[in-house]
Amino acid sequence: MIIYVVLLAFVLSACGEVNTVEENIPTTPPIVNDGSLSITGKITFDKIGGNANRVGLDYDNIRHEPAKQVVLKAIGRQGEVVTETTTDDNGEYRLNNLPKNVELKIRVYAKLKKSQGDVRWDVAVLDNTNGDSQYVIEGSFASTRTVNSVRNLNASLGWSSRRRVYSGVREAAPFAILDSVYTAMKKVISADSKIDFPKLKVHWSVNNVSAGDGTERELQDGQIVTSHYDGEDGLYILGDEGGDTDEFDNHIIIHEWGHYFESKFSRADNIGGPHSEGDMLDMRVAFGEGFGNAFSAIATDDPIYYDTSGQQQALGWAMDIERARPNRPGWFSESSIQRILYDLYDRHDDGEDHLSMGFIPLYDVLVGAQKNTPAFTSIFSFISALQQENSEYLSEINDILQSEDISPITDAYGSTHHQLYLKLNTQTGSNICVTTTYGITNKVDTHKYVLFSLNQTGRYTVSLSQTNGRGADPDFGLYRTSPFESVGKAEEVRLQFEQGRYQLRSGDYILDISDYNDLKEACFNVDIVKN
Amino acid sequence: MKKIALISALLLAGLTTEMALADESRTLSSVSKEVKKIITTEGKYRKPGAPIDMRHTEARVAVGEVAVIDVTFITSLRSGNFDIEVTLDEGLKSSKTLSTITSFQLSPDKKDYAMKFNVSAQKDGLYYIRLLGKAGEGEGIRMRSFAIPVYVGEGKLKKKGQQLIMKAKGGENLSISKAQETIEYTE
Repeated sequence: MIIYVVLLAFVLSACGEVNTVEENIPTTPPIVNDGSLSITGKITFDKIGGNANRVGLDYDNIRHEPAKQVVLKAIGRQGEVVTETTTDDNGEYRLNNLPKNVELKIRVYAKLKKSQGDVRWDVAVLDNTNGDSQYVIEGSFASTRTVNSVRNLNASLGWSSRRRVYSGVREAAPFAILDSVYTAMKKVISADSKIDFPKLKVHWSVNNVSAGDGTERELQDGQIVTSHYDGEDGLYILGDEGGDTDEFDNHIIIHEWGHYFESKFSRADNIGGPHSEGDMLDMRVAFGEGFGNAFSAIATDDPIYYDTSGQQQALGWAMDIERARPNRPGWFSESSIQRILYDLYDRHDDGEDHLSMGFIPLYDVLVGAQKNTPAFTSIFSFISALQQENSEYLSEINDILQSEDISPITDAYGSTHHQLYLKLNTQTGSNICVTTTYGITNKVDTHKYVLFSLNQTGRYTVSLSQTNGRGADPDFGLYRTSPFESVGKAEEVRLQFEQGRYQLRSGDYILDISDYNDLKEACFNVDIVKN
Repeated sequence: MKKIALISALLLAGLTTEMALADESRTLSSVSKEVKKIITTEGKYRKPGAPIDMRHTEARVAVGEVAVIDVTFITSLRSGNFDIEVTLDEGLKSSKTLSTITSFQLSPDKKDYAMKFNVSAQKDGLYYIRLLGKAGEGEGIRMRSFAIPVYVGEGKLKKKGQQLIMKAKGGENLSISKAQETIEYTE
């Protein structure tokens, strides 16, 4: 007779309360996988996409999509893992050496794990509102009997087509997110067959809403601000029914994954902040966001980016990454960047686009020259490197740039386009001005980049002092350019003046100057003094 | 960090809600008049979408008490209009008649557009006012979703998930749901 002992454990996390139940523990002996039977099968999840016009999710076309490369375990009555494997790209699996007449259940993890071979990954989808618990689906306990068996499992959507609401567990969602992440990883693998993706935790919950400041407590309540990459090892994805769900908006998942990719394999000097089509953005923001959008189209080979939202997920908007009409095009436009990157990649020639480079040349620049550029990452650093590495396509690349009102790019600094960088030694360092002519925070000219060289290693004081009044709150970031690294930031809440002291090696540096108060114009003297 | 320092300063400075409330809300049991924190999406990362930001006063009230929430939408758009579609969580009631969609006519010399909510709930919990902003026309339509948390009483999140949260034998913290399964034995 099997006696089940159910232990209730209440785990109090730092800020949120998570109630957990410990696994049923019977008194039967554990199962050893030394038999001759096999269990095979296929793991699928309910997949939906956008409506034909990409506005709203299409709940009338649910298909069973293979759950690719997911972790799967056979679990015995004692909760022991009898054996485990992963599914293949068809969602199929095989468990061997199972004994006769033992009861097992199949547990499928919303997790991709590959820790051997030339390509490695580790991606898990977790519930941030339940103690980062790992999403799994399970079958029922059933005997292996005396013959081989087939057990197919499907993660359901949880949608009631009659009531037009989610009425069941939305168990397909974590697998849909994984599918988008895997799509993105496969595109990268197509350009690099030896790659180790750093661990990634994707936080998704039905409680994740577009609210909050992103504090730890708020994240545990699901207030994740919006779907985003956290800059380290996590994505946070919205799951708010009737508000904004993103689990089936694959371009959004891949856009955010693109930020993870930039951070881990390339370099993202993106300073963040608000951004929209038509904005004249700081070149670093324009490139980062434009890259995210373009990569979502490249990874999926689908240029229609869409974001569904609203009641019954029936609303939303879409944009054609390739064909959208230019709205204030230029090197500062995320839309221009996304069109350029996608046109460089795609096989479809249109307008000024007569180039089909595929992903490999773009990837090579992203993980090579773009990662190591002594300038900030931008369309200038990217294109100048792409031209150097693919000089046979110079004319075609210039045609694509021209279609976005960008004249030929001659160096990583965009020297012929705008006075983005200033050299401290030739311009005395005085009256370097930032303005809000094109908008605040992260728009063109809200930041100025000051280049300077040091001949001697030593301790230096870097200071900014306002020269045109009192209202500015100067800030700066200091970067060494080779190898490129952040040295430090000086961001005190202080009017007119800012200062930082650093131990600096001889070499080249960039000082990124801005005014936190976003005055219409704020001008500064820059002093770099050896102590 | 600078941003945290500024938010703290803002908290100290506060914003005292005026008692000059609409007649409807005076008929309710009580009205919040405490110092309120301001929450904003400005300067934060956002996925692609409509160029609209939102600022709102924090809502923490007792059960049955009316939360008065001042909302400001900030946009760089200067012409046309933008719409805000509003939905309230079940159990959260507005003391004023609430339009499902509010349309704002954009002006070349204005960037802030205001809304006000007077809401209450008869049960403890964390509720949300959901707002969906829409700007542009045709292929240029862009949207952005927002949610305003309303903390009533203790204001704890009522988790919607129906999964079993289980500590597995190996120590894994699992969120388990039952799969659709077929089993066939191959004789």
